[in-house]
Amino acid sequence: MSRLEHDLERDLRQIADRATPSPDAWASIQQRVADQDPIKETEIIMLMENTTTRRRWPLAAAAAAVLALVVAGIAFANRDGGEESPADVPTPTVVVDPQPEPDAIDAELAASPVPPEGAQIPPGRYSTDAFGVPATFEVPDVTSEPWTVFVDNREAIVLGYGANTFVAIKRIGSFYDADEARDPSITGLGSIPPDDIDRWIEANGMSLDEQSDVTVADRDTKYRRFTLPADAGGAACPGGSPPCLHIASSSADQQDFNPFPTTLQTALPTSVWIVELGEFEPLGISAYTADVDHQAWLDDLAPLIQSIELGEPAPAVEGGTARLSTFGDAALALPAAGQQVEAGRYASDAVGVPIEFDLGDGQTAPWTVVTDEPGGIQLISDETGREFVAIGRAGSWYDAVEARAEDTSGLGSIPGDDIDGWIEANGVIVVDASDVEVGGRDAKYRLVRLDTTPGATAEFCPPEEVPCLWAGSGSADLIDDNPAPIPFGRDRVQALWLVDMGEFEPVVVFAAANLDDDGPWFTDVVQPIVDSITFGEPAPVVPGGTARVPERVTVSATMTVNQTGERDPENPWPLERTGELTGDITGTYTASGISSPNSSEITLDWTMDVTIDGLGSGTLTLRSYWFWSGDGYTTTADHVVGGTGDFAGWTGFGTGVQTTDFGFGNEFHADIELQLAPPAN
Amino acid sequence: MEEMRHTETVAVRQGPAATLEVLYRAEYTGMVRLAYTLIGNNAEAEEVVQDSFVEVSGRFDELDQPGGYLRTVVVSRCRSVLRRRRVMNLHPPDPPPDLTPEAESLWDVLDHLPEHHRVVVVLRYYCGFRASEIAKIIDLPAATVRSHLRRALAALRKELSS
Repeated sequence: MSRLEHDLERDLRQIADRATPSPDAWASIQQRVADQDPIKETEIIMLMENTTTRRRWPLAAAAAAVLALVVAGIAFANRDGGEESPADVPTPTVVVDPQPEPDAIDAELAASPVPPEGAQIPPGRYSTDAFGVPATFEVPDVTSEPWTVFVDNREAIVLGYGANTFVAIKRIGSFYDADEARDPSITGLGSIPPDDIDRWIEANGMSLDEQSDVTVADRDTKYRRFTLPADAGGAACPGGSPPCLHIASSSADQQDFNPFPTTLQTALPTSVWIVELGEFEPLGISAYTADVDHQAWLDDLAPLIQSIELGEPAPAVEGGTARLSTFGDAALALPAAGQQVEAGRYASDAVGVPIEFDLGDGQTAPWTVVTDEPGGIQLISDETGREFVAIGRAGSWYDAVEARAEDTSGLGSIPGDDIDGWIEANGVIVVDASDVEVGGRDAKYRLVRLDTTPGATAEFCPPEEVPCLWAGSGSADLIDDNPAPIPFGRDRVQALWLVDMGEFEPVVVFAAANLDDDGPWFTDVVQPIVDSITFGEPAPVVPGGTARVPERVTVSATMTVNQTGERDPENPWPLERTGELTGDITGTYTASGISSPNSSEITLDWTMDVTIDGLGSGTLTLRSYWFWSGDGYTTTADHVVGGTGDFAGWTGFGTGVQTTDFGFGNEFHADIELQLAPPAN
Repeated sequence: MEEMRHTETVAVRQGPAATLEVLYRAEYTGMVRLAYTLIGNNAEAEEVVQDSFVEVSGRFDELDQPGGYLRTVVVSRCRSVLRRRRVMNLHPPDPPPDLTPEAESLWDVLDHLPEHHRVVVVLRYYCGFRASEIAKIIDLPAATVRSHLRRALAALRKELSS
């Protein structure tokens, strides 16, 4: 247990001890149990029965029917005669005040969560997180009929009064073209971007009754009022009577949840607002009525629309990847972390470079998204819960010392495009290696496994994952936001594809099997995924990011060691050594080494005070790591771990060939070659 | 941590003869402390736990482990409270006055953690549950819980050291 974890336990206990449970709580609970309405208990039982498999389809059909009637939005229509449009009325903005005044707190507290489906919703202010963007709105006191919550789930809210007035609010993932809109079995995303309702109207031959650019919740909004012509054809409603068209899909991040499209059923008018949310999918609001005048319904809705307040734009689900920029070709955005994802083609911009890939059906179990956030995605197979595929940006790789540190964060000393440097630095065993293409770009494929020799790996991973190394960091542009390094654990084979992104950091695809010898899984499942990958234009991991792959220079020198005197055989550490460099590099160096108590691990730093032709002067510190592997010491490549003067921030590594006998007290020579890279930024 | 697990064991040992009152005596204090650690407000914590007892009462006879179910309900309701605060931009509760500076710092940092990170941290380091146990309580894959824990620790390390 680390110091941090120990402190967490201590301080959380102290916080918990400040709770003051009421001594008469039992009486309160008893009273509340006794007050439970037996009728409600009956309703609960009935609802539970309705959730059985036997009745699932009728429920789903009913939900679809509601959506079919409701679909897209709330209408704000400008009336003839120059009356003020409700959408032109200034709407309040969301106030985010870390120290709200008492009145502000009271106002916020006055907003109640939207009641559950089927409940009546009295006039008042309500809050919801169903859309991903925090939202509050007012249910107006404009009718003697009670308002009802028809739908309240994680992606939509549908309200109305009476039996045939509906206002629906949800995120829009896409619109359907003419063929998709008339397909009764369509699910998933359509081919029209979710911010382009005009294309949907044109593609489907709608009668556009009114259009205007308005403002809702202080955001740019397209208002469209249209009617489905009686001769439009189409019988897309599930169980409904034609003509009937599908309008739009759910958020791309919600495809696993609600595949039912929103549907336009009759020739009556529908009003839709598309509220822009920056780079994210828009919010769609639709209004429809079957038994009162459309304009009268809009008049009743106007106070609700005017009262909408939205928080900061965000995906439809926390960590969702759906963006307007990644829309197209019906590729789905990955669902949020924790959600299952079935076979299909998916798009993501989590790694900065737009990327698409197929999740094939080469295995029987679906995948679960473990991580989906700026910088990388990771999927685990539900087959065993151990196999995974991850895609990220390689900001750097850790050398032997960094890789074994318990608390590593930040960039490593090996540039992100140098996978072989990482392999060499850590004594990683290469099972297979080749230069390949991924998505039409040059890539290095390495199938590797850890050396399980004691000392070759660390033991900081969770118990079930030892032995373990830190492989490397994510993008240098995200190192402050996401400092957690990438663990490389277990004694099983793992595959990496390092894909060249030109001047930008490479994309790394990383997969691990369940078993040590699981070649078929790589062949049958992982390789098709890798083969299906396509990339957009190379770009930093975040817009405007500054991380770049450094260009390297190679310099060589001859090292002469002037070790003097015998070392104390009883106390040989720390080691101190001095020497000179000649060749492209001139100067002096000092070597200092430390050893673990049983001499199983040795770390040696070579600090060189040098001048390098054409590059400048300063110090460079190379570090080598040695571990005892049973029949002698095994060493790894020397890596640059520090620099001063002209070499501040430089990275690189060195290799050397010893040309004379090495021995304590003896003079020896070695030819070394350094590959040096200036700071990435 | 030890106290909570012990009390749960007591409740489970009652078997079919267990009553809501036995569950209350065994779990109420521990659950309020858990809820308080999650949401930081004593009144809300008591309301959450009492609501949870009322919910458990309706299904008590059909539950094999009412203590475990109660905890799941309490954690779920606390998550709703945290989400509601985020949606409504509510000001988080102030810390109690007598915390050590370290605990007060932790209080502040917890308020800035994403809701799911705060929940896994409390379940791991206050309740002492393993990732696989937390996964059952909050209905996520164990690997996801481990990922949340790792990221939460990284964030805590960064924030507490600054």
